[in-house]
Amino acid sequence: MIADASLRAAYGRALAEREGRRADCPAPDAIAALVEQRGDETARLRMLDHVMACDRCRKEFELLRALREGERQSRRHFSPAWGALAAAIVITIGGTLVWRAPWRDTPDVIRGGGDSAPLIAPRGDVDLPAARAYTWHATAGATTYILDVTDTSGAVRVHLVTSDTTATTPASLSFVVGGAYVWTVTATRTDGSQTRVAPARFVIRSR
Amino acid sequence: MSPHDALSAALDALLARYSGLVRRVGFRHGLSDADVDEVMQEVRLRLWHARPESEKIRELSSSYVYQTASSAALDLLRRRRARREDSLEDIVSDTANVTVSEAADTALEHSELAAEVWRAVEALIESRRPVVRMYLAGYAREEIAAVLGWSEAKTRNLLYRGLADLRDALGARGITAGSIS
Repeated sequence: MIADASLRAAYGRALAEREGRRADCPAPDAIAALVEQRGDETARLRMLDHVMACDRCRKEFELLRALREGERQSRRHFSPAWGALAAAIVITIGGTLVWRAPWRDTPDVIRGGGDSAPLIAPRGDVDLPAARAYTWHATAGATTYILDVTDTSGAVRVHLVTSDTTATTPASLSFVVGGAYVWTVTATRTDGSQTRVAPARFVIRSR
Repeated sequence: MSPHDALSAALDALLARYSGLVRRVGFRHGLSDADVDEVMQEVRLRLWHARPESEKIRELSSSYVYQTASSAALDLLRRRRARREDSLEDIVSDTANVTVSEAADTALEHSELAAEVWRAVEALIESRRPVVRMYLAGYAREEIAAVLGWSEAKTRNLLYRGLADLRDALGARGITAGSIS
């Protein structure tokens, strides 16, 4: 009998050798529906059949599935007492939580997926002075910009508001040589709507 | 502790445990830390921009954090597709990578066998094929059951029947344990 491991190796090889045809792929939201068991079973099985036959979709599925499974495991650690407490909180401040939700608490934020690299500098390997000077393209109708810089732990290192398309961080703010940082800009228009552009990464190079 | 520091500490505590769990789940199937980092940074920014008090951050439920993370991940995937780049592809380890030193004739033989297995899987009946694909892609039976919301017994039944069909189909093509190892 052919061993499962041999079948898996052969299937993995075939999967890797296949050229993905992105035009045929389902939207990320449809993959999320599979992960969250939304929709009828026949449709979900069809979706799973594609996802497991398409290396690109499988990797997207894996990211969404890990987020979902992480949440499930997190919930499992909740004791009944904590669960009851959480339920009480939800009942008591349910309405509060709704307006506390980020997408309700702030104006609608549109992620700028279609922008062509609106963040100009810093990007890639940069020296320390370059890491302090930020430049980006203007967003149509924007009156102010919020600059956020985070380090690899996710800690927000810089958070400032400006009306310009450049900003310089204070000299007192230190960067780690060899450290990686991610920055993004959120443009705010007069009507309160916001667009957050795709983030850029940079690494402080050693001299 | 300033309100700024308190909020930062509350966000750290909220996201550290969740991201750890996500990493552990995803590691087995090649999910990269960079992808998790990118999503968590976006989650952090979204919560940060909401500017709630640190006390409220501590009270957020795991499902609330998941909804934020899921939304952030979907935005990330849409951005990648829009730019026609797939950095996941570069980062995720692939158990099926061809060994560079592999002799050309052996590689060709393996490649042909892989194509035969692929064709045999394609020919499986629809109700069993996705389960077999998921298993062959490296997922455990329990993971398949969890994704489909099936019982362990139903999953095992369909998987074993599907694998038996696959072995029969390969056998009919002259592919046996001796020819595939």
